[in-house]
Amino acid sequence: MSPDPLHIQFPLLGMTPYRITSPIDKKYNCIAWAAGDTARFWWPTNPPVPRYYWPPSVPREETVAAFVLAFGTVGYEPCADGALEPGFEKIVIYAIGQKPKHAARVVSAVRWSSKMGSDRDIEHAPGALNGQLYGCPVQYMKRPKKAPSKKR
Amino acid sequence: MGRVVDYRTLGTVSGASQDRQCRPLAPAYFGTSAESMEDVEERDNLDMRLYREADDSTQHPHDTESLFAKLAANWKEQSRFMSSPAEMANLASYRQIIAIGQPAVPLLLEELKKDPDHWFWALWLITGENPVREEWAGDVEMMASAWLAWGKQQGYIS
Repeated sequence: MSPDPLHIQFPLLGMTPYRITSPIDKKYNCIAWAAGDTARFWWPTNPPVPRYYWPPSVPREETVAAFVLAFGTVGYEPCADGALEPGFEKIVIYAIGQKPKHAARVVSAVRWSSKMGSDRDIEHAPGALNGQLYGCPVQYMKRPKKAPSKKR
Repeated sequence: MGRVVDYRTLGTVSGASQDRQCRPLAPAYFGTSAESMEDVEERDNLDMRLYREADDSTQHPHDTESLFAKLAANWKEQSRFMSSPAEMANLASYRQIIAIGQPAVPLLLEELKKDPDHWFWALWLITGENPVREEWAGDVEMMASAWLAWGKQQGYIS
């Protein structure tokens, strides 16, 4: 049986517990997933190349600073680490140098949730995706959790 | 500093490609990061080799379809975990598809019909068109629909 492509691209993933949490879905990417959007692909491409979604007020730059601003449009602000705080949800931006490569949701101290490009969502250990493709976590962000709506 | 290679001074690759615009794959088209002149020259020289190899396949349509199928499968495998359209478009298999030129257009559109994927960059580079409305940016299914509608209008697909 041939190895799962996830294990080939992310050698550390196969050494830690993880689980697949969605089928393949090409409608959204990791940045969109971290921002809570599963209908669009987020990336700051610039004309004349085909545009992908990027918050209108944010510079279309492949920099950590621009990605921080992009997540800021959905309520996130920078914070020091990924430790869970009551009343807050957190995300983390991965980069190689200042070039963003990936973003994930912080589910718990030992579980993060990532959309793997055009592939599946997975829950994984915090360090499991570090490597050549995604780099490593460089910036955490947090926003207040929305209060659940009351059912009538 | 390295010398930048300009396709337009090198002539066409072969007779079959004379009606195909050979767009330079300049770094500005692939994301927003600055690149050194050496990177640009290395990329341009690689592009010329890819153009020649892909152009040889366009002499026989069956060869083009086989080559395209192989490259598309290869690209899907290599790009599946990427989130950056620029990074996806920079993969060698994607650039080889671009290098096939006009014969790849109906094949790309058939791919979009089967399974909407990030072929938009290739279609834009080959055709010079961009039928995707601004408000559809990032909506992969709408972007694919726009290209399919364009393809039917142009007679590439039924």
